[in-house]
Amino acid sequence: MAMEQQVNRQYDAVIVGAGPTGSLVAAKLAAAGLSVVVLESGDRFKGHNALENTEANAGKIMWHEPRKHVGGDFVIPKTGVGVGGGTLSWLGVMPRFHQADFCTYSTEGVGADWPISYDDLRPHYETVEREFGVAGESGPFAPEPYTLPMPAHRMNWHAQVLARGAKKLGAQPFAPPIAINSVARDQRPACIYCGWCASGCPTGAKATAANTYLPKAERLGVRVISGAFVRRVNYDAAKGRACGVTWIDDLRKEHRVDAKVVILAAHAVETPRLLLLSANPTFPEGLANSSGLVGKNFMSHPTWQVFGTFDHPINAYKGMQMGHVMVQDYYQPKPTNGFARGYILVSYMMTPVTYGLLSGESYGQDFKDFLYDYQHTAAWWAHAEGLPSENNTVTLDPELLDSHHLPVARVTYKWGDNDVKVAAAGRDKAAEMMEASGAAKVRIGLNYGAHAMGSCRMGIDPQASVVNEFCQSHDVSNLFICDTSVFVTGTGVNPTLTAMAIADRAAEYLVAAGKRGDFQ
Amino acid sequence: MIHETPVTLQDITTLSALASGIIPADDRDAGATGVHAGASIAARMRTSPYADVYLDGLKAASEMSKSNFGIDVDALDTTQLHQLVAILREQVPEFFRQLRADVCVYYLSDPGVWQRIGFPGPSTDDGGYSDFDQPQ
Repeated sequence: MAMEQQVNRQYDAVIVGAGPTGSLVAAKLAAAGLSVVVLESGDRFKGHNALENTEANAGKIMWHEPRKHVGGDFVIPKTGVGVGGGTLSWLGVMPRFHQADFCTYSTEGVGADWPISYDDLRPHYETVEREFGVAGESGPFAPEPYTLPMPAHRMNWHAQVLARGAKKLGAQPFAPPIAINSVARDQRPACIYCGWCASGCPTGAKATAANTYLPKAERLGVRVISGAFVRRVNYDAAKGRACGVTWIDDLRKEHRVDAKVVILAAHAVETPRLLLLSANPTFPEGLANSSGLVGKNFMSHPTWQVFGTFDHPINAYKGMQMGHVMVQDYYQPKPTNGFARGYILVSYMMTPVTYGLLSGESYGQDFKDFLYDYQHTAAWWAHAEGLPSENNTVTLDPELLDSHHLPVARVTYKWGDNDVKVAAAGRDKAAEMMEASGAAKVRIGLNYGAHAMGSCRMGIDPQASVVNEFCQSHDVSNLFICDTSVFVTGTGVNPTLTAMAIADRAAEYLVAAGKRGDFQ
Repeated sequence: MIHETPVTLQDITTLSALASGIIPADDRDAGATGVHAGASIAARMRTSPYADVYLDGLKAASEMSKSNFGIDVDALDTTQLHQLVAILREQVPEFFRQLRADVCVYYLSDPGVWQRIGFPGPSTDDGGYSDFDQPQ
């Protein structure tokens, strides 16, 4: 798409990434009267046919430029691309973090403590749940009882079968918080349980940035430019501030946007990559990287897929792909476990290609038999907490270039001992539950890292963190990072709600700072 | 790295054989061969982001086939092919994973396969599944 000639090149704020956090911040800043532009490298998908039901949509809505993965362990960061970002392909599960998740070092001697607490995020959790639209129950292990704006979805048959086994083992399965309408709300319909969530919801029942915060932002005057790959954050050394970004359009032409505030929301692989690409004489190791921690402490969730095949049809494709049922009984740390932290189990059954991909590394007749068991197969996803390590990093690859001739992200990842143990415990518990549900055959599927976090962690000490508690760079006061890069630990639960709550808090701070004149 | 050289017949026959090792033919259907997975992968391989993975993997597969069985990949019988894929999984894991993933995509995107495994495809136009919470 060719760039329009008349573009306002001076804004109060430029935001890189039109995913859930970037879109939320855009809407909040615009509501406060700021001029905002959002630059998104992917396309804008309009209408039902743009993302009709096909798993080939992964080629449109998931990061498709090369990356280099080294280190030995398999991580799927699932970076979204397109207006809506990761929410185009996400599955919507949105539990809150627990109080102890913010202080793992103090409570268990592992990981690190966050500079914020659950109490700091509580009002922002409530705001996001209400504005984004979340259905479900807070559950028996919630950090505190809370009510969601929509009632829980009924469990599909698949979840009922899984829950049967969980209850037999004494667990308390529940319908977790999920950002998919259980009733018509906010001009979007209720879910019809078609089971195509990951390919782009065809009805709009699933909340995405593109059908919630972004339309609101655009009505408030935010300009969203798609097909805009940001290649550099520009830095004015004389003023000691970021001054905007340089981006490339689909025709490979460069543009510059100047802004008083620069906000990065490109996810935990591309955000640190952009900072590293923005190295300059003041910051030779990467913009805002005096700590040396940009790209370090990259975290993922160690997970296992566990499949159970039954003698009767399950037809797990009927329903939401993930999150009709969750078990958090094993998320509470116990000294007798033999590992720190814990795991959750969540229902996760997929359309056929993903079913094949997540089945592991079987091949030949065994694999084909598994594929033909599709109709009779149920699936738990065992999802554990991976601890931060400075050895797990995002850097610039020395050889591989992307289509813009820029060094790609090199993701180095190796599970630690605790990661392996806690994930294995989750896998084994899921297998046990599957047998308790009555599965005739249990198969262990793929072991992989899910989600991406921590690569620009927040903290109080500028030598030990990249941003402060409001996501503001310690080094560059008008540069903010509002995505999962800022996480200090990964917890064992899905990250998006907390990322959005942190972004909401940062937006509040930004608005107040702007009114004080901090960014003139 | 993108390779501008054209796909070769050897690429096609080797990838077709390897694909059939991932999802073989049996009395249910012709497996990966039935959806021409190998040829499809070969056609796009050299310009895909995984071109180097494939080219290195094909070279390794050919060498391992000759050193273990004395013949090319496309001449292996079913048992030998199964053994070769096991070796590739162990020794060239990145190639194995990419090949397996791509074969999955081709096979499991086929409407005929959907019908046979019991997946009805998109249901939006029919209003989704009102019986989603009922015994199946």
